[in-house]
Amino acid sequence: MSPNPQLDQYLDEVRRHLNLAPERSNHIIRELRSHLLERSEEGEIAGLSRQESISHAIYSFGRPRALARLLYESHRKTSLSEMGVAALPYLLIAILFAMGGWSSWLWSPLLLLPIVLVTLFGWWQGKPNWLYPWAGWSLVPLAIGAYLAAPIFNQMYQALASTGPAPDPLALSGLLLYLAVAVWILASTTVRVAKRNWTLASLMLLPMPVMITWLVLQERAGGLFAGRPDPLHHLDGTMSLINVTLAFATVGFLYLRESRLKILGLMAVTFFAVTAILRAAQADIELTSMAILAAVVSALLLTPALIEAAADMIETRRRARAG
Amino acid sequence: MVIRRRNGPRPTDYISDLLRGSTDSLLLALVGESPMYGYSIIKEIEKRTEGELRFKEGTLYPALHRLEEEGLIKGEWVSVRGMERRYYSLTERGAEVLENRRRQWQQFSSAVDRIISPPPTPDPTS
Repeated sequence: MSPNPQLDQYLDEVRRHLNLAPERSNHIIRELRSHLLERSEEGEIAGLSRQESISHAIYSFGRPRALARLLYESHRKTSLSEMGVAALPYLLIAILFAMGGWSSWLWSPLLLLPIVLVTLFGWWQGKPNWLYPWAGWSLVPLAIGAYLAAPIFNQMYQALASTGPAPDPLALSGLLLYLAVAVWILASTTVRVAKRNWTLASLMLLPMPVMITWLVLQERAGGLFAGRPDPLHHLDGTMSLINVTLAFATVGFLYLRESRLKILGLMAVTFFAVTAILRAAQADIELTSMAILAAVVSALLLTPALIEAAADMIETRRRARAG
Repeated sequence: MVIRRRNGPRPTDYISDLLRGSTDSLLLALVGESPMYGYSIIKEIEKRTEGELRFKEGTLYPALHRLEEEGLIKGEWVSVRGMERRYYSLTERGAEVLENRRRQWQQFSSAVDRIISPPPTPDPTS
């Protein structure tokens, strides 16, 4: 039977959203194609044109994204070893904090570099489920970079207010370029993952609320590398325990099937983690601040859901226009 | 999912609910009779139930793949007149699960029937 662009486009879209290993995706697409062709042949025998029969067959399968999501759920079973690999970056970071090694110019890059390399390897391998916590930790250095660049922004602000010298234009240009690239990497990675499966994008963003809270506390205590001994080293034990908790949360996330339970679990653990850091830092937290904190955590972890809802809406409109 | 309207659920919603809860058993029973492929399963269900029940493709394939992942059925590619089809058949474990479900279904349906079915009308002559 001759190829059909509408059929190929539909199956390509299903494949794009399957989020499974290429071999498994090929196997599924082959089966769906066989069904669609057989059904469209039946339509042609019943008197429909070839194009009409293909359109009817595709319509009966429903939206490609929804079908891909259900198929993904059927194959989603994550093995124990995959769960272990997914939890590993949190455990490594927990060890780094337990040893107080985060402020070392040697240990932090020595740990973050392999994390980035493992992420690139997983991405190249077809984005298996264990990849996303590694990807999340690969994005954390971007936030740390932005934090380290904050003094230059502060200098620029003071120069604008005519209370200080202007920052070096070269440093400022470099910084703006860095921020643009960092925001682009963060946004495009989140959008790409959310378009496939928004719960995995939320899993990827899991380290962010904790690390951003920790950076804010560091700043309040005088800066990340304020001096020796660092003023917030007493948080290291708490940060270590929090990362162990996040490792368990990751395993729970991969074990659960229901998307709502996964997200509720992530939100609860993140809220607990952020509150625990604030308590350990003896920061004054009022009820209003807690409510704001809960809203920010929810917004950050639910952003991928909004991205997916928008993508869904665009796809529905496109299909409606295509008839 | 049952979509409740202002005047209560539609009758088809209840059937959808029942069908959703019985999907695995129906699929196991069908491929337990003889190896079948996706399209033939849909046609067979329609034929046997005279169109009362219909499986959507978007429900069928995820269910078949889940049962295969659970080791209850196994798939095999067969080429028929140049058309490739993936035939599913029961595994040993699937046969055990089906037998168990059949027994439970008979107990359950008979128990529900004793309550839902209207009691026999008393014979006025007796």
